[in-house]
Amino acid sequence: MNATTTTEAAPAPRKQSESLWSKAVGKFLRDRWGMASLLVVLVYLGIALGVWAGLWGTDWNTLTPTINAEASAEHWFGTNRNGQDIFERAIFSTKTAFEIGLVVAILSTILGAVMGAISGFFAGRWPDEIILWLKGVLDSIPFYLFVAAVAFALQGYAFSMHVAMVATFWTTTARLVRAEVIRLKGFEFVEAAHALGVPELRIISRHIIPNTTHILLVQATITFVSAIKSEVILSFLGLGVKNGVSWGLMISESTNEVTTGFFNNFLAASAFLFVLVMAFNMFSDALQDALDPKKTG
Amino acid sequence: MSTPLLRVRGLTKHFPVKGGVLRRTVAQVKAVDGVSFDIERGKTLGLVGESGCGKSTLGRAILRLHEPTEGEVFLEETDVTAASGSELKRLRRNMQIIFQDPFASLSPRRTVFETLREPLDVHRIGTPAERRKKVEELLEVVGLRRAVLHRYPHEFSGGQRQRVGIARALALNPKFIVADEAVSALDVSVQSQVLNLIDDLQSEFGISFLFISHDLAVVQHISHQVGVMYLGKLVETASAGDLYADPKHPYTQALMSAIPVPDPKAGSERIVLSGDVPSPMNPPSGCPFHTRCPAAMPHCSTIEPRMQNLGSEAQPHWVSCHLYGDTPQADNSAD
Amino acid sequence: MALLEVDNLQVEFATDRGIARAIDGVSFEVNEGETLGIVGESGCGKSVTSLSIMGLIPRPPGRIAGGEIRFAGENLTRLPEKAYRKLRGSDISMIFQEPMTALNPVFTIGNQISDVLRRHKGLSRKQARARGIEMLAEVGIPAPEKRIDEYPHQLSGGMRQRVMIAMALSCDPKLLIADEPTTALDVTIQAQVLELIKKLAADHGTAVILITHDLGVVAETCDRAAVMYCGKIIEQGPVDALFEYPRHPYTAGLLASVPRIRPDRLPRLPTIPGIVPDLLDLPRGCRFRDRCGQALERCGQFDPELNADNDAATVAACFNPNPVVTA
Repeated sequence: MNATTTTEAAPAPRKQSESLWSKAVGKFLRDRWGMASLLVVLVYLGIALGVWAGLWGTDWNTLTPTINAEASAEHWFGTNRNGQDIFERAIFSTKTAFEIGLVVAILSTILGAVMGAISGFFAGRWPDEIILWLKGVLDSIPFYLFVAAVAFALQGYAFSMHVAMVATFWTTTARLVRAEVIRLKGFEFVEAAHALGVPELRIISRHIIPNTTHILLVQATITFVSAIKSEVILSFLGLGVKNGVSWGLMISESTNEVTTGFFNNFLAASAFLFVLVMAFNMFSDALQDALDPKKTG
Repeated sequence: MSTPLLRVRGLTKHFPVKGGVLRRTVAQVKAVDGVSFDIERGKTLGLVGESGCGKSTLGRAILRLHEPTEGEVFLEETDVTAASGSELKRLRRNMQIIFQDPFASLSPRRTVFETLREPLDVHRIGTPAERRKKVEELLEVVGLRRAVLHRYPHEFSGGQRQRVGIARALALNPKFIVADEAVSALDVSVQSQVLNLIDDLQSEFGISFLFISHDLAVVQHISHQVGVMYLGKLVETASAGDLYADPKHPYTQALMSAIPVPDPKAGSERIVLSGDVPSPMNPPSGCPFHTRCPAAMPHCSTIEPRMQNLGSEAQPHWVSCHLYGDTPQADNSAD
Repeated sequence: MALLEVDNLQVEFATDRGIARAIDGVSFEVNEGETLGIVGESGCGKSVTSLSIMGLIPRPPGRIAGGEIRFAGENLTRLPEKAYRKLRGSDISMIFQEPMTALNPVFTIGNQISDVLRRHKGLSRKQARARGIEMLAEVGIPAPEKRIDEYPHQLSGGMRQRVMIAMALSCDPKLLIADEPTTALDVTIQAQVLELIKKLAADHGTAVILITHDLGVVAETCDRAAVMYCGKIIEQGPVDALFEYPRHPYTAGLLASVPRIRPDRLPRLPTIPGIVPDLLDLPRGCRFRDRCGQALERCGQFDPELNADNDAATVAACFNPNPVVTA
């Protein structure tokens, strides 16, 4: 092919090429609150990884003769009514929280993305109708009733709580992805791909899904927080964690202690939960701002 | 005489309007209604009309981006409307499209290289090294530097993006390109750069264009033939020279006089049309333009005019208007 | 004293990559009853200029970094928001490019017009409605007593823009700012709307600032025009002179590249080479130098100011302008 001489050749734009991702990262790095919240989340992650690696939190189940002790150099947050170290238990619970949060966030985001993409791409046709119906049914069952039912159905199965959460949390992600896919389908770059003879599956995977990742990422962080909070309530109700300990179980234990005027167990679990949830929410907001293409400052 | 590259015959596209609880079709929007024309090899047909006249739908129906309701499209000897599966995919190498919006027409998360290589990948053209070379050539052809290869759309100006869109359309060496309002979103100084580029590409590669625009002034520069559309129908077609020198249809005349001229001394003997374009869901009876036409006669509202040739056999000038020719007979309205 | 005097206005926006000076020392005047056109391509600062006059620059990221905007002698840049709100819609009003987004979709047109009239003119509900119907009739909306109870989505684009004009003029403003009022409309509708603005401005004695990218629209509607490039006015003067004998090479280039119906097809359209420079990375000296066919050496060193030449009808910011042609 011979080159046409175009005298109007436009000069190239300046400096290093930047993808939308690196732009978002740059924006996030300049967000002071976002960075602070990320730091807090990373500290928690470090704690969880340490527990998982057996570096600390190993004594969470060790019984000592001192019951309901106040904070001391030996027991930083005191001990509960079984004589177990509250600090050790709070630390160990961080791992539990991350396990639940990550498993539920990842699985429900994947499920939501796939269902949402199918539903959006085939909007108005039968695959969409089925998924919408399923979503409608799941959304109309009260959450705790549903979890109780799943827990009952999967009696003895350690992951019944996870299953129940994934089964309810994916619907929000799917709804958002569906709307975005329908919007993207109307874009001219998707039409261009059709005009070039690009197969439909490749259009979904290469042109549409990559443009929904910002939604997925933010949605995953939101689900993570919801999962951790729900775990606390479920464990408190006795529907949650069976093996090990969690902040929810600690709060559940503390109900008997609080009546006797001993607050350490309750305060420790609540504080750990509160700081993590707060930091994660702030992180999620900052992430959303950084990824939002409309907010290019 | 050689056969035209593209022949469009009676092309029609109706969109159903769903309504009610059961989402039944309650009406049809006649976006394109029985349009016929030819485009010669290496020539451009400019298609002009206001928003909602169906010009963009027509372009997409030719390319089968919208399934036509009725009518036929032939690209050389192949029936485009009948093609399916692999045959359609093969056809797509010969017919491409350039879009209006330089922001929406490129995927924001793909580099220029990824965007331009995709058509070559999909149609399995050349080895990876050859594909890369081809992409670099494409950039050169549209007047972009090789350094932009790994950049993302948001790093470009509107005009540069439009050049990338043109390069994508050229990647498969098509014979025919639909340019849908390809310069409408650009600033005037950039607009003329891109128009010159399209002109260059035509003389270099002998591509035929269907150049869709709302602006008669833009179309004049680029077209050999011009068609004017109103409410889904062609109302006038002629060579660019004839049409601009002697517009016949009152709508073409009004469109022409409505263009603001950047010359304060140009006397404004403007034909200002009253009223709005009627809804294509419920087009007026008879001549679709009679509700706004300054020259409307009583029978215009009842009898639909037929296309008639006011030019010669060699240099036709088709107009569908009752002002010309004989007084129409009622049975003509069946067309 | 002119009705509006903009004096050395500077507006800055904070961006990811630094401070962009969207308007850099813009000065112009609008006299009572006069129509001034501000033309330029996207990003030249024409819309920012109009938003500054309306006090609608989003803060942050934007800020007026210097200069004054005097309306009837009063400096608007220091006007408190409450006083500004009183001014907007009564003494100065604005119409926008997209009438659909400028009208509130959940209220009837009548509601929206009456609202303005009751707030600024203190009319009663009944009076406001009557005046609203009058205004709709004046902007050429058929059956206004019926239309007044319709919602924006029930009207066509052209009709919506007429409603916007009716609202903007309902309080008899002294100054109307029209920001690309016809860009979203079809040419045949554009012709109607421009006629209307021209007629109403003349009838009411309203001064108009018409912001547009379309030189044709300016030629047909305005008395004077200012051409903007990269945040500066590079030439201004009476429309007749500006369009017939443009002095700045950018004005001349822009005029030449406007598509227009010509007796014969040109072999090649005239263009301005290159692209508009980045506001954060402006060339030294004249901002147009890199695209200019008649740049001198000093154009790369100094930024030219608007410069009146005794014989020329327009003022241009150029060291090597086109020669003055005496008519």
